[in-house]
Order: sequence, then C-alpha cells, then structure tokens
Amino acid sequence: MDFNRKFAPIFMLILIAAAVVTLPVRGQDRKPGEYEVKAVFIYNLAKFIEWPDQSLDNSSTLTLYILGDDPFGTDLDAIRDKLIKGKKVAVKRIDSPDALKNAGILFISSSEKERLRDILKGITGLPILTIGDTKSFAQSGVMVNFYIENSKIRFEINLEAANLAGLKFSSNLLRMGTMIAPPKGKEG
Amino acid sequence: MTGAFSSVLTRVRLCFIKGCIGSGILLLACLTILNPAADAAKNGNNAARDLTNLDLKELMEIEVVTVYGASKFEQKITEAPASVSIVTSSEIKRYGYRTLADILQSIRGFYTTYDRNYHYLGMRGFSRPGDYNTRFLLLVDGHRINDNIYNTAFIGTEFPIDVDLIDRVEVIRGPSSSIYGTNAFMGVINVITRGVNDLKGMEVSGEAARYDAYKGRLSYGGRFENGLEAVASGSLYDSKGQSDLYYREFDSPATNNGIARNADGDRYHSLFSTLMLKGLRLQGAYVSRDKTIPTASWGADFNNTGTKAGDERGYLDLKYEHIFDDRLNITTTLFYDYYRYKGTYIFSGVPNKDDTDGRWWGGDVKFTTRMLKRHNIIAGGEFVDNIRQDQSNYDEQPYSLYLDDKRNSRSWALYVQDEIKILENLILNAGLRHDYYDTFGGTTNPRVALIYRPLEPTTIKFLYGTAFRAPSPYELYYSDGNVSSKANPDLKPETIETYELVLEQSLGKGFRMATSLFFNKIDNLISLETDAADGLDVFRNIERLETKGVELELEKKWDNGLKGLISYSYQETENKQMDEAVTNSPRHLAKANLMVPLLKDKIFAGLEEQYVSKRKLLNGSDTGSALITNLTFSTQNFIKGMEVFLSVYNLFGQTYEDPASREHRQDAIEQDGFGFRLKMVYRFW
Repeated sequence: MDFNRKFAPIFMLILIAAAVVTLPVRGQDRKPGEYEVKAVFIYNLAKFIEWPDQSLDNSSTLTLYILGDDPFGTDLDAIRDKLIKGKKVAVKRIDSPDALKNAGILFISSSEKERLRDILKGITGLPILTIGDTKSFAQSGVMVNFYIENSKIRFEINLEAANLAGLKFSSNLLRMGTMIAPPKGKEG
Repeated sequence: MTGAFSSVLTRVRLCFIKGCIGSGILLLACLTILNPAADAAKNGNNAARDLTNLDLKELMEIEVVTVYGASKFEQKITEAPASVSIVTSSEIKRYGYRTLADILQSIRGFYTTYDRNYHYLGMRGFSRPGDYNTRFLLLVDGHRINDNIYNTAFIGTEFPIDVDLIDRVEVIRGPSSSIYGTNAFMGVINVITRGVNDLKGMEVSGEAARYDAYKGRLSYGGRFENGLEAVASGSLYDSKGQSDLYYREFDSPATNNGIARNADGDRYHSLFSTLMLKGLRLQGAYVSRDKTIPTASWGADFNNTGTKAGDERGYLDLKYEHIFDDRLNITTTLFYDYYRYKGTYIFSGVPNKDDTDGRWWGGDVKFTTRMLKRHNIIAGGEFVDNIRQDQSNYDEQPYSLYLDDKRNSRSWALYVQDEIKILENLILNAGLRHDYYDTFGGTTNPRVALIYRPLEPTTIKFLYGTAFRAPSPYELYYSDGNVSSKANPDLKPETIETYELVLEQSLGKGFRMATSLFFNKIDNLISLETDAADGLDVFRNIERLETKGVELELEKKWDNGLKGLISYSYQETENKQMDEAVTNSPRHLAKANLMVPLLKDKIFAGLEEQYVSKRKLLNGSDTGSALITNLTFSTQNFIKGMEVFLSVYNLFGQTYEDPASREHRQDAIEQDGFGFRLKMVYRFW
C-alpha cells in the first residue's frame, strides 16, 4: 500500500521531469508576451496603410518612434530591419514629440496620458501613424489604439485622425478594427 | 476488516497501473505530435520569426492574459500582487468541465471534496470538513456570490452561472481582505462571463451524460443600434444520479442492506442576463437547485428519498462606470441579493425542515486614479445591509418549532490600494482595508507585495497579507433547540496571516514556469466542537493551524496549438493546538493537462490527470490516494456553427473516496466511477 502511495507522486514527478527534459528540445515553440504580439501587430498594420505620396521617399527607413516609457523592451527586435513598403524598420525611443519631423509611426506609451493632447497637437498634419494602447486614446485622436478583449488583442481606429494626417487605411484593416467616431455618411 | 482493506489495496494498485497507462498515453501523445514540429524547427524557424509570419487575423486570435480580480483593475498577471491562475473558456470546453468545481479542481494547489450534496473546495492543504467554502470569496463579474447566512461559495450545480457562459475564471491565491473584506481568506475566485463579442446571436446547447443526466441551454447575445448590448441565457439540468449507492456503515437489513436507492437526484434551472448601455450595466442571475441527499447525514433515515436540500440564489447588480479624463475613473454599484435554503431531513419518518431566508442589499463606490505619476491608486467604500438573516427549524407533522431566529445586520468598509512603480522593473503594491460589523466590531487588514523584474523573463514577488472571515449567522445563531447543537453569539472573526515568495520565469521556447513558497498561519479558526459539559455541538474560535508548502507549475505552448500544463504542490498543515496533522489535507497534489489538436482548428483531444495523495479522516484513518484520468474529444468548425464534445470522466473507473464531515456516519464518501458526457452546441451566426 505504502509502496503505491509513495510511487504515485514520484511517478508524477518523473512525468514532470520527462516533460521538462524531452519537450523543450523538440518542436518550435512560442508563447508570446503581450508586447511581443503588439510589436508584430504594428508591423502588420503598417502594411495596410498608405502614406501620402512622396512622404516616404526621402529615406530608406521607416522609423517606429516609441514615446514615453517603453513597454516593448526587446520585443521590437522581431520587427527591426524588416521591410514595410520597401523600407527597413528602424526603432527609436524618444522623450519628446519635437524630435518628429518626418513620416513614420509613433507609439505613444500610456505614461504620456497627461500630455497626449499636446503631443497630438505637435504633430498635426504630419504623415505619422499614431498608435497607443491606453483606454480612451482613440477618442482623443490616436489613430490606432489597442485593447484587450477576452484575452485577445483588438484595436480601435480613429479614421478621422488618419484622414487628417493624409493616411489611407485599407478597407480590410477597417473591417478588423472597431471604428471610433466614424466619418459622416459612412457606416462604421 | 482486513479483507476490505486488502481489496482497497488491490484497487489502489490497479488504479496506479491504470494511471500509468493514462500518463503513458499522455507522454506518447506528446512525443508523436511533436515529431513533425521538430522537423519544422530544423528549418531554422525561431520564435520571433514565427510571429511575424502571422497575419493580422491570426494575431487577433492569440491569447495574451490579464487579470482583474487581484487589484480590481486589469493588469498583467506578472504585475498582480498575488499568485494567479486563469482558466479560459477554451480550456473549459476542451477539457469537458461540467461545473465550477471541475474547473477549480484543475488548478494548481486546489482540490475538491464532494459529499453528494455540495462540492467543497480546498487549497494549499486547507479544507475543513463541514465548511461551506466560506474561506473563499466567489465573485461573478465582480459581484459577491457568497450568501449572507452560511457564506457559502457555491461551486457545484448550485452555482448560479452555467459554465458555458464563462469567459474565464481568475483564481487569486492568498488573502485579499485588503480589498475584498470577509471570505477573501484563502483565495478569491472571479468568474468573468461572456460578452456580446463572443455571443453574437442565438446559441443552443444540449448534453446527455451517465446516470440519466441531461442539460439544455438557450443563450442569446446581441448589440443593438442604440448601443445596447444584451446577453440572456437560461439552463435546465436534470440528473437521476446513481440508482444504487452502497454505504457499508448502513449495511443491515433494517436499512436496506446499506443501499440508498434513487436518492442521488440533482436538478436545477438557472437564468442569467446582462444589459449594458454606455457606462451602465445591469446584471441579474438566478438559480434554483434541488438535490436528494443519499448519505443520511445528520442522522436522517437511511434510504429515504425525502431527505433533500433546496438552494435558491439570485441577485440584481447595477453598475455605473464613469471615466472622467483618462486619469480618473469612478465605478458605483448597487445590488440586491437573495438566498433561500430549504432542507428536509426525515428523522424516524418525521420530516424536519430547515428554512433559511437571506436578503441583503448594498452598494459601493470605487475610484481609480493615475493622477500621480508612477502611482495607480484605487480607493473605495462599501456597505451591506442584511435585511434578513433568518433561520428556522421545525417538524412539519406533527408541528414542532425548534428554532426561529430572525436577524439583520449591517457592515461597511473603506479601502485603499496603491501600486507604485518605484523603478521601471520594481513595483510596490500596498493595500489596506478596514471593515466594520455591527456584530463584532472592526478589523483592519493589509496586503503588501513587492514585484521585481530583474530580467525581462523573470518576475519575483514577495507577498505578505492578512485576512479575516466574519463568523456567519449560521455559526453564530443556529441551534436545533439544544437537541444536538447550540448557538454561540460571541464568536469572533478568524484570521490568517500569509507569507509567499513567487517566482515566475519564462524559459523561452514557449515555456513558462511558476513556483511558489508559502507559509500560512490561521488563528481563532471557527470550528465545530462538542461541549463536554452538555454534549452539544457548538462553533468556537479554537483552532490554530499552520501550513507551509511549495508549488511548481510548468506550462508550454506549441505553434501547432498543442498545450501542456503540469503542476505539483506539496504542503504540510498542522494543528498547532493539538500538534497533529489535520483532516482532509493532502500532502501531495499533482496535475497534468494536455490539449492536442488532432486536426488543426477542428478536432481536439484534452487529457487530464489529477493526483491527490491520501487525506486524513475524522476517525484518524485516511482515504487512499487517487489518480483520476479524464479525456475529452471536441470538434468545432467541422459543421459550420456546430461544436460536439465527447468526454469520459474517471476513464479507468478508479474507486476513490473523499473525506466526510462530522454530520455523516460515513468516514469517507465514495465518488463516481467511470462517467461520460456527450454535448452539442449550435450557434446561429
């Protein structure tokens, strides 16, 4: 009796050990973190967006600016140097939107909540795709705003803001996101 | 006696062998499935490349996990001030979980006990026989489910929410009285229901299981043009139960040779609805369950189908959330709750009735603010007005009243919690709550967590907290007219103090590990004891318990959808008063779960192994250990809109027992053997 009772947990431990030893070496594995997924999301989103004519021409890179506390860390390595619209993705961490002069992508961290309005004002009219992941950012004028629903990443789109900046979102992208403040005459 | 013992021994041995086979299948399945994946790995794909190969649609299907219940706001699990586990709706489906008890049983460090009336929850070596899960706080979308008379956390068929309506279950280990007050003692279970994004029209479900058990459900979810989001659902369940249950303690010709016939019936009907418009949410839930009690507990007549329990639980919860300016968020809630228990026990042919009527209403206000840089502060207040906490006990025919106790009481609380980002990788989370009860006075409980992330994949948490549980009206005032039990209105709250060290480590390649080292100290534990002076049972603040233990969990997810989870926990619980081991406290718990996609996105197999080591019984002996195997096959997208599930429970028909509480003549209650369930869901969208 004791033999069996003692053996059952030991057996389970062996099972655990076996899993640890054998499973990791086999197979390609992935357990993405939230920002790992968001990084790739940004890369994928950009493919569906048209920047105004010539705005991307001057440079061989497309820069992703991270404004404020960087939640991505090394997660952005996955998309660095990948190509969007034939341009290499560069990543730049900045403290102030003043550094923004050219076309690009701007991720606004939730740490910038308090000065969001000033930030957006500072880049009005520039062909910059603004992205956030903080509640109510889309309503405040950020073009793409991530949120999590049922543990899955979703995004809101503020199309008005995109139009103002001269960015064109493909209809495929619009279908996948949730529209915030859609333009008049069109259905969201 | 020795004969019975050796037959138990043989069974244990058999079970062990069967368990080995089950686990062997599990391992084999791992290895077979992995082989093709191994080839793919040779092609030089790495984890990051794989993600970038996914398109937007696929990215939107990836689950990233957050938790709400630990701090009353959404946060990453690694930043929660507790050790947290999540069970998602897909796991509930793929492993064929039937009740909340099934779900919780699968979680690291948890075990359940069933006495053929209610399910009882244990965690970290703590599950008192006779306790109605009062040391756990159970929430549905943030609404407290524990009733105001027994403080029961209902986890069996009497749980108001059909498990099909669950989006996810968050389990927060350790004391959370610092934000939730009473009952958040061992842990908090927050059940989050499915919303209109997941329920986009009509959904019907039907299931049939062994012992003539049938369940039907009709649900609807929709979003209307005016912005209204509505979810409504109703369920019916009816189970005949086991037709013959044998209890050797009653094996005499006078009591049908120990066989309770057709005395295991279980039926319920439940309704659930949520309406949301702008920041306003109205939720209502109702369940009524009737369970026939086959065990002749409390000395009732054996083999009499008249002995049964009826539980009715309902609530309305109105919540309003207002977001001021990104930095300030106010939530107010107003609720009305209802609980009714009607128990019938037949003593020498005379029906004796317990009639319990609980009604309460209350409200709370909660502020969440990020106005101060690096601080995330929540503060709030709550009050509860128990307008009815009535208990009565009487014989119907001939009428004789033993107890007619009418009570009402009030309590209020204030709390504050601050999450401070001291450094980018160092978080201090500190909370404090003061509760005031007009029965025993005030109590203040803190929780402090230091969460440190030295490296990207590593999170270390140091957790300290205290919690309390207010004595319930049942413990304070119930007596059967001093025939066998008496009241004790002087009870004080019991308290717990815990220390925990958590290490969460992402090992790369889809591997995640969590370990936890914990020490719990429980004081003034409210326990039922017999007063030597008059021989009556009475609740008293007597026991002092200490638990120390360690938990280990490994999780792995593969690209092809394969998922594996293995956990082991070891704990020692000691009664400091008597210097002895406590009842119903297994030293070892081990669990293994494996989800295998047999055909991508279409057919799945979910295999589950659960091991519980021996548990001490009230009479000093113990139950054997048990290793249970459950297996579920499920399909989706095979026929558009249809899902089919075939589950087998206790695959090898292991005979095992759960410890019984003192109202039973049995020392242990035998559990169900082999069982199965066939279930179909169809959605019209």
